[in-house]
Amino acid sequence: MNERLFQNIIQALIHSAHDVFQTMIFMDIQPKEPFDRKGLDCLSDITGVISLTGSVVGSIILSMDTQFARKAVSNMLGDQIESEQEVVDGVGEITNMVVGMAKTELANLSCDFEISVPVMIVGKGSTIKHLSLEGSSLTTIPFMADGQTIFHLELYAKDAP
Amino acid sequence: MAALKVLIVDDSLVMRKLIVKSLKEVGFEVDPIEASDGKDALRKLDPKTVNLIISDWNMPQMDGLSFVKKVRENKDTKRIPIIMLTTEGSMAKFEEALNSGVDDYITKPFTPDKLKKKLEKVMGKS
Repeated sequence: MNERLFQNIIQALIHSAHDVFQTMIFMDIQPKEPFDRKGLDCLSDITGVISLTGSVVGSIILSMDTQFARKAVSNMLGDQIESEQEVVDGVGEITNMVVGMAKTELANLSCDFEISVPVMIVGKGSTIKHLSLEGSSLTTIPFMADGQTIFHLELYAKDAP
Repeated sequence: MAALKVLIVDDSLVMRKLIVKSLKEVGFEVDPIEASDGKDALRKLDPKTVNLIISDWNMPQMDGLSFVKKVRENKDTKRIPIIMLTTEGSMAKFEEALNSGVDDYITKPFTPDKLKKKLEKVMGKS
């Protein structure tokens, strides 16, 4: 992938994750150094996947464990969680807001793409298949709060053919 | 004063719940009707009782823009104020939504105060 475009997407994701967590979840988060990894196994219990089409093709993946997901969704609602469905749905909405906000920042840099509704995967280690991206690298950004890694945001994408 | 009958259209149940909570937090008495996409919303839209529609854009089945167009095409529902609450924040998307008949537009993430200001503006217009 074009290095400048790649860096723009990574920076937009870092900005949007920070803003979404600050505004909706009332939590100050910090990104750690991004790293590349092979394989597409879900890093945590609950994973939201949003597909990208247009000038970029691929997926943005947000993954967090159940315990943190419950805390994040509970903070967002300002209330107790009533069901597991709410936790999964809430992680989907967080994924949607992070990707949507990054999309807006990137549109202002003339990088335009469309996003899907989030697909949710429950189960750590589940494999995500993206046949048109076989061989592309996956870049992972860990995010921390209070000295602990709380979720991972990942970019698995290439320039449009 | 009667409660505001708001049709809230979003495929996320957490977001629907959050919108209701935010409206109550800034002082509105609300009687919400929830719909998970545009098709569901059209089934639940009663022009005699609904005062306001708050709709997401990206949804399965029928997206928010298609839903807004249907509402505006119908003589019984065309005057109901509509706020679009979405992650789509570019100027092009904003203009597309306004041209389709949306009264105002809020991007997610949002604060209850932002929602209040937009709601007062569109309700004042109606």
